[in-house]
Amino acid sequence: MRWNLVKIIFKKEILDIFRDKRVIVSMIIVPLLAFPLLMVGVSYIMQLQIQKISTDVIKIGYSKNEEILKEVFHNNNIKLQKIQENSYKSLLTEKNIHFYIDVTRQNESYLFTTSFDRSKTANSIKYEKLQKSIRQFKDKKIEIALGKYNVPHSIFDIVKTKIENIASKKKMKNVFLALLLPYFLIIISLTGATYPAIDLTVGEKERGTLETLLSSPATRREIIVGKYLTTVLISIITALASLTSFTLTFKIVPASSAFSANISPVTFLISFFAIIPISMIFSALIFAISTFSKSVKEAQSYIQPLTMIVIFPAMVSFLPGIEPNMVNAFIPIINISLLLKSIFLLEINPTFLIITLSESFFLAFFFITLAFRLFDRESIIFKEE
Amino acid sequence: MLEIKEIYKNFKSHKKGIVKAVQGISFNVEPGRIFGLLGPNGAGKTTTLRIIATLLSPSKGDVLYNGKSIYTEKIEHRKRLGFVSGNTGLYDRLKPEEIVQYFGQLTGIDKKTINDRFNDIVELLDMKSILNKHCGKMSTGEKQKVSIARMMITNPDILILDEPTLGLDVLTSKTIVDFINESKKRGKTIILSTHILSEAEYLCDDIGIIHEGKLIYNGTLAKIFTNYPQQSLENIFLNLIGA
Repeated sequence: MRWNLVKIIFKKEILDIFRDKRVIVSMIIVPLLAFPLLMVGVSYIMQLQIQKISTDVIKIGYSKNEEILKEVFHNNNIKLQKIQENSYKSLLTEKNIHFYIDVTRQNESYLFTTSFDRSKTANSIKYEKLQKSIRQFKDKKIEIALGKYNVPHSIFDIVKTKIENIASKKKMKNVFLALLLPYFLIIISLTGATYPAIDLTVGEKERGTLETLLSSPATRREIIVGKYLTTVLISIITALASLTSFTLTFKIVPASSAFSANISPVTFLISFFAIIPISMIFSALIFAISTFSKSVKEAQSYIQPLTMIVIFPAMVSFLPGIEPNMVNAFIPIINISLLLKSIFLLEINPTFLIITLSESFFLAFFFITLAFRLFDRESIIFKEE
Repeated sequence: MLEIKEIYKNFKSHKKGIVKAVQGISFNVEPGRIFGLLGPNGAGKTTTLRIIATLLSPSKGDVLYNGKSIYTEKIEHRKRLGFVSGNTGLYDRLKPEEIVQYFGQLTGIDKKTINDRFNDIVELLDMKSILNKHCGKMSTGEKQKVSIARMMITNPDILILDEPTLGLDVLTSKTIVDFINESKKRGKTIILSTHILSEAEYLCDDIGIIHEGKLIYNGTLAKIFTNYPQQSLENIFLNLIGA
């Protein structure tokens, strides 16, 4: 391998690919801007909505026991509305009322039956508010009842529970991040590798530039290595752009938001290094697929199902109860997803890290060797024959 | 001297089974002479040229340059080889100088020599007006000039030209034809594949006619007219391929 030739090929490919506006937009600008805008936007809209729902007037329909309801719901934001009992369902469907409450009293006990459309998220949030009023009413009634027998109020505290959270504040802040970010980074590494791998192999074949390059003194392996390194670099840059934008976004969004988290410089650096092996695997795999393909369209039709295959193991970070262990350390993509998750939760297992990285490098080597073999086959390079 | 010795090339095709693209082709090309490879579409011209350019390996046979097999020293052979085809693609987002620099560096030529040669080529091919253009925005003729420049930068001893004037206007074709003549005068070994028989008649010293993978005629241009007197090259060609 003549590394000076690999360097010449690499430099040319970088120059060529970075002049492609599609690469700049989809690989750098979109990951840098779209995610912050999306997350800040979603976070802002969510907060606005929650605020709106909590200040909205809740309309409750009833047909009897008005006194009891007035005693329970004396909040300004709750409006009681007397209706015909047989019309409550249509009024709920037409959104004229949010809830219909039927109260029945038997001696000293009360039964509150609340009817509403649970498919509406806003109604569930409002229902929490009603529950709070009902609980206050219940406590008051119990207190009165116990008072009759001189039982002190402290009886309520006869059994207490307490939780001690041993997770640091920093770790707790990153819980949401640890669920979400591994998935995004894996998918983005794949996206980042796809376009350059296709363009530099089957794209060149289709445009007729590969034949000229193959007739140059560079060997096929030198050509592949130069092109492969370009693909890996673009994939890493794309993932890095996303990681940077996520890091900044998590800092920008308000601390109260679900998207708030803190990626320290060390976490950032370790995550960046964990992205490298997955970029290497995806670049090598797509490289092999694209080399095998007759046209860009054919390559895309092979790669689309691959994206679907990658999505599911990448989502393992979302699943509760799946922890890094010696079995899943050997399962590609799942291991990287769990590794990234553990990095964000600040609990890296060194053995898991070593196995994951070694296996990833081995897979990348395997796929690039496959690309070497495919590139050596005349029937594949000159497939139109 | 370039000696093509009994080369065969078979391809496996899922639809057609074994395709015999080239069947025992032999010819020699001497320095300072142009060998015209003529034949209808699908006759095996491009496959033969790709074998000589080491892009494909022959199923049987050998190609020698100055008595040595080109397959035992592929890299050295490629350094002395210039390959241009009418379908040659260029990197759309690069400028002519960048393409020339790239291929020059891959051949191991230093930057100063590349720059000096490039300046000469720009003059020779009248490329000044396209120097700042990206290849993707060039006309077919302009692109072909860049392809020729790319080939010339390495100052190759052997030129393989596959339909170099395909789709070009008269003026650009003339520039390319003049360049081929000039290269012949400089002692280059040239193989020219073309559909334009008048061009072959004007440029070539030797002619090889390929039909269905076989070389059905091999001789000097003068000899072909002696063998088939009072006929145009086009008629001779059509007679030989049985059209």
